[in-house]
Amino acid sequence: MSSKSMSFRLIVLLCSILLLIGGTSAQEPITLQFFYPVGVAGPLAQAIDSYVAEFNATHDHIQVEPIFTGGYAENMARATAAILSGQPPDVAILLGIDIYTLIQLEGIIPLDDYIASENGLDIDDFFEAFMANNIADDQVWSIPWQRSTPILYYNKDAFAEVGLDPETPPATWDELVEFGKQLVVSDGDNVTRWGVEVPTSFWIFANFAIQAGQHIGSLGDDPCAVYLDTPEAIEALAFLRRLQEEGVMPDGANAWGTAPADFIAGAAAMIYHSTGSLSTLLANSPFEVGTAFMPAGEAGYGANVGGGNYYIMKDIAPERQDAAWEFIRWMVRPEQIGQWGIDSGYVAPRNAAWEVDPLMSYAAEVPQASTARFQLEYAVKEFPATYGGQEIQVITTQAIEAVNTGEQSPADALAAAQERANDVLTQNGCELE
Amino acid sequence: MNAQKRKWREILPILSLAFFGLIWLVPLFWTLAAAFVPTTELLNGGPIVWLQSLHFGAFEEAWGVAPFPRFYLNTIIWVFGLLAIQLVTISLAGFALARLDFRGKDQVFFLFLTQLMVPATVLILPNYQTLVALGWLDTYQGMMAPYIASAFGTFLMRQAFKQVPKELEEAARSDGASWLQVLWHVFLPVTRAPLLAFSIVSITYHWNEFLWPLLITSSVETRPLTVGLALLVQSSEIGAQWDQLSAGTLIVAVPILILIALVQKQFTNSFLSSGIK
Repeated sequence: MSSKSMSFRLIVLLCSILLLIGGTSAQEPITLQFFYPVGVAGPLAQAIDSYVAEFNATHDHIQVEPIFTGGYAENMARATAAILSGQPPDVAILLGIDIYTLIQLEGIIPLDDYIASENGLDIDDFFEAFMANNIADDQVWSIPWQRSTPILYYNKDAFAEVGLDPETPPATWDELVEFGKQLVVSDGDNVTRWGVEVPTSFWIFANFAIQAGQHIGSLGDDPCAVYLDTPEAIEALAFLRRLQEEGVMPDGANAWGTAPADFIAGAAAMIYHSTGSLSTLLANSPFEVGTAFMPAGEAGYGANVGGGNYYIMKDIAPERQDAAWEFIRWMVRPEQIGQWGIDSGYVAPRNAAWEVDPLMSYAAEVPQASTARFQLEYAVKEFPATYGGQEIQVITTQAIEAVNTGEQSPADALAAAQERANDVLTQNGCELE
Repeated sequence: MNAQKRKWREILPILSLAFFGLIWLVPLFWTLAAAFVPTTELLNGGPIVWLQSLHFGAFEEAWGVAPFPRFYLNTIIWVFGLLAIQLVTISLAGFALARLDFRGKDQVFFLFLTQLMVPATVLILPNYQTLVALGWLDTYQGMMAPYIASAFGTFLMRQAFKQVPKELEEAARSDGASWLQVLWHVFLPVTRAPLLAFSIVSITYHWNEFLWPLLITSSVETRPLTVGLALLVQSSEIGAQWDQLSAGTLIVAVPILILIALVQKQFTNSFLSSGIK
């Protein structure tokens, strides 16, 4: 943009401010632009629109304009474009792992002052694992909203059918293999029911690495750390390959989207999937659905988290930031965010939400909904909260794919992935040894 | 014996066409099946006797997810409005590059060719910033702006105009026609086929376009159908809900399928009639 058009716009702005001051004395409501992505198909956009409508109806001085911005990737693309062109939204739901990119863009503000203020928020009430991706430089930059974590789903009827106790899901990796073998049903060479299906995805693989004893991402505040070629990560990937070699899991890459379909169809007796799938699986499975912690590895249980948080943008007027904070505070009230958990399948990210209705009654009715909440005790920061995170996701998933399809050994695939990840980090200004 | 041979010669191409046609129909069949059969039934195997348990629940749910009637209108305005503008720009530009002499003509043509090689997504950020400067975010003209000068269309029309015999043009010229009259009365009537071909490519491309309109529109008054469909396909957190997804796909795709079916005859006919002797 040329400086000429800048100064022209400044003059226009000044004139309109003068006009406003001279024209009306009544206070105009602040209209906030609110970007939100949807990571789950269906009526979630309507749910958000209806919450916003209720907020607008109860607030005279703030009106929020919700703008659906696609999936997470498109949402981030739009937010980036908007920030770089100097016209950011006021408040946005963006991925937790995008925090460093957003700070690098100088697009967001820290929220500590708001949290500590009179109209603050009891930030300690939020689950620690869901706050891990929200903190950088000892400051809180975002408030959890649509958060999830993977869990193990299992077919209770299939368990009973092969003589396993439907109330005792596998608790360790070895049990996963053992139970899985018993659950496999074959028709000649053709397997009609697999023991377990683990989607080929960085987000699921990370859990196995944590269970083996070393997360593939940083646990602390280090935007330059990726640990893909550790012995633990190699062990985790070798275990995924073992599931295939022992005939428990289908060979080749397993797509994220087909795992729930296979589970419902009875073609997979157990699957690893997001808590977000719970309502779909409960509604469509013609058998009893069990949920459990992901089985423990040598280092015990372990999980990583995911999802999106509220951020407030930097290049907007302070009163707009105040209004954005008021909006966020209203949205994460225990009753409100509990309702959101029921509507969406996301894990309500704060304790208080589980202790009041509507979520309290819902959790009593649908015990499966609480599995993820209790597994959070073992959960850590989402991978990869680094610069260039979206690229590193792809690199990691490609390494898993190469092993799942038998092209590479776990050690080779992960060594190559680590090298490529290092290149991405270096390109983004990280100084690696 | 000979008659039989001839018969085979007639039947064989039809059979092979039918075979490939069937392959093309498979995804369409599954979309229809998934949209009308309850998910539980679809995924639990068995033969699909989908006429027996037809259900429209998925359509109702999908239809309710977004204001689809308004999105239809928006898509039609943006796709056909853009096409109208493109037809003007590509005929004029194609004519200039094919038939007029001016300095730097080859360089300009070269620039057009390079634009063909740049994927549109690379330009999203600069285009977005241009729209911000123009104040065109969330408008139809903003959605259309990057496509108004279509390099593909210009190239196509230039090649088509180049093939029009010089004699036709000279005859019109000697009757005292201006270049605009020559373009209108001589060139455009004999290049209907490439114009139609371009139109179909443009319509289907922009009808299906998602990322660009999603990024620059915000309101119900401008957003196209694909943004409504996006509400049904986001499955990064969960597996897709096949019934609603398929119903939404049909909502978006059926009009364009019908349009192509209607125009198809026209399309082949215009190819035949534009044959220049």
